[in-house]
Amino acid sequence: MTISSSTDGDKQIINIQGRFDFSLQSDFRKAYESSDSNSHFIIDFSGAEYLDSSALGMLLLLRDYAGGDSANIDIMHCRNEIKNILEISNFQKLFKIS
Amino acid sequence: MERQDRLAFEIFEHADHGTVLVDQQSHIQMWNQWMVNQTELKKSDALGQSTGDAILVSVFPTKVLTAINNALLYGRHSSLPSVEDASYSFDVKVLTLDEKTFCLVNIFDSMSLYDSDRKVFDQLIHQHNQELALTSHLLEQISGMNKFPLPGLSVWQQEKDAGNFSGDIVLSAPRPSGGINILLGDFVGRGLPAAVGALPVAEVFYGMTEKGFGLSDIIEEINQKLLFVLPEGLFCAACLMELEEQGKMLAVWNGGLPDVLVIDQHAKIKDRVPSSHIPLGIHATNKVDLDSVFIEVDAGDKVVFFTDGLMNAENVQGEKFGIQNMERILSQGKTFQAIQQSLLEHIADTNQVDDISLAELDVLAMQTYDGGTSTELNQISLPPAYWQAEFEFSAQVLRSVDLVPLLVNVLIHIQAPHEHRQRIYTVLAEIFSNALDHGVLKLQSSLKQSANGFAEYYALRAQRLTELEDAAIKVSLIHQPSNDGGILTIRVEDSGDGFDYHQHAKNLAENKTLCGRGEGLLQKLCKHYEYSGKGNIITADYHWSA
Repeated sequence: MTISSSTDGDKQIINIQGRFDFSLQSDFRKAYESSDSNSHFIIDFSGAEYLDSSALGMLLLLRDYAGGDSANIDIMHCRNEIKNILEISNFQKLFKIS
Repeated sequence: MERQDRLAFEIFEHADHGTVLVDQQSHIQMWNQWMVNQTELKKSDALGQSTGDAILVSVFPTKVLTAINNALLYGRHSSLPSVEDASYSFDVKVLTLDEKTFCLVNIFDSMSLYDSDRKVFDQLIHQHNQELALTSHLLEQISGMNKFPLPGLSVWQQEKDAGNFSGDIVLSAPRPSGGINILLGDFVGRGLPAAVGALPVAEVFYGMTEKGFGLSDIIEEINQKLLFVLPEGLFCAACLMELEEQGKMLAVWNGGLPDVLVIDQHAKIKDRVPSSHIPLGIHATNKVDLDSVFIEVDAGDKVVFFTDGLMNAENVQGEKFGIQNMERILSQGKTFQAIQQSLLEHIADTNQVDDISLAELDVLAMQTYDGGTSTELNQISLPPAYWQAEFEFSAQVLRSVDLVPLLVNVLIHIQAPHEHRQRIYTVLAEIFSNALDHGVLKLQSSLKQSANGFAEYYALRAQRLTELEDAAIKVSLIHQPSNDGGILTIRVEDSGDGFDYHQHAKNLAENKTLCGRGEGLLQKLCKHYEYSGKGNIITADYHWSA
């Protein structure tokens, strides 16, 4: 369960491996707070195995940080399981998910 | 022994916590000095013993022995914290050495903390206990708000930590003129942070249901409350449903929970309502989508709904219970108790990962339900007095506002004892819906009689309502004192074409037509009522005595 982040121009890429749960709370926050709130955030879930409801909460906190409705966030490379969890909460209405 | 090895060994021996190594055959291979001191079992007595032997069974709690088994068989890592002040916590994990599997158990004793840590520890325990007590109190209060437990609603909740709030709530209440409202909520987190959100949700739900408000208004209000109370990142996945008074039409709003399933009497899943809304407490209220799905239901149907803990419940092998499994069991026509049993068997011998809530609504039981009468007696501050109020609602208002609960609220606050609230609501709702549905929207109630008619009726109603332009409904309320209380005269005039009420009265008298349920209600509750004008005006007198 680790978080790594990198910058590519104005894009801030945050990569999550393993289980995304409450134990990653402060690491995740550090990962995005180091960037400008106007950044284009890319959350890479290719290595993510599971999201719990506190992970959904953390995504909401990121969205709030990045400007709420005007946030520019892409959640990418979701496995089916992850996609299902996001879709049951209809997060595709709040984030760009692929 | 090499110096490094000797040092390592000394460190192991002198550790201020227990370290035990168990091999694949469940025999103790290593037992450090701390263990000897704490258990009074010498190394020679412990080494080589099996974890199933009496001598060790008396040392390790059952949950630890289970965890050791799970580690050796499935590679599971378990962390078992101490549950009371002054007991041990265990960390059980797998270790591989030379391709052999071992189980490493570390044991910690809270008593071995230094004094300053001890104080902090005690403070934390105290705060935790306070929070538990507060949470427990809030839950009791919420539970006490349910004045009319519904006979047709079965609920089962399996909490992972008995004694702390799971974060799931099930609320249910009858509506004033018949029918019921139900809410299943799954708060992020558990314990106090979840209970803090649950309390306002329960208050809004019970308060507004009692006043006759519909799902849209209730959802809007709950969302508003949660936006206020919960910080960013916390929310409540919920489904709300309303079964109307005849028990034939179910409205469902699902924001964030697994599919709500409707099972018919042949155990077939005839309908499902997937989550189509964002959970509550996230979006600004003016952005919340309030549309419900309407489903026609019959006697013999069951509505099954649950939180995601049920689908995610893992057995010892780490396999999830899953939605397909659930649907398979339902299609076998199993009883509610049998489903519970399947779940309990599935999660047996595991540390439960998430809380489970499962509910089932039996439509037949609700169709025959009589409803609860509010027995709350509030002091009437104003003795019966004369007053009147007139309202005129244009199409724009009729399209967007649910007027009956608002009107009843107004008049109850001016006059009328609260025990009459339900009956007055029923009368006003009946008269107003006639004016709106038949007078202005020109819907025929005969449509409801046909197969699928209910669904069609409500769909058509919704459509015509959004398209409504030139129309108006006037409502006048006149109240005057009487010998023993008061008389409330309700007059409603709609801009529609009316109907031949003279012929209708004749038909009723000659038994040529059946008295609709609505008219029956008016006859029962009102001292007097009559049509006038083109049949687009109805005036009814409701008498109440103190």
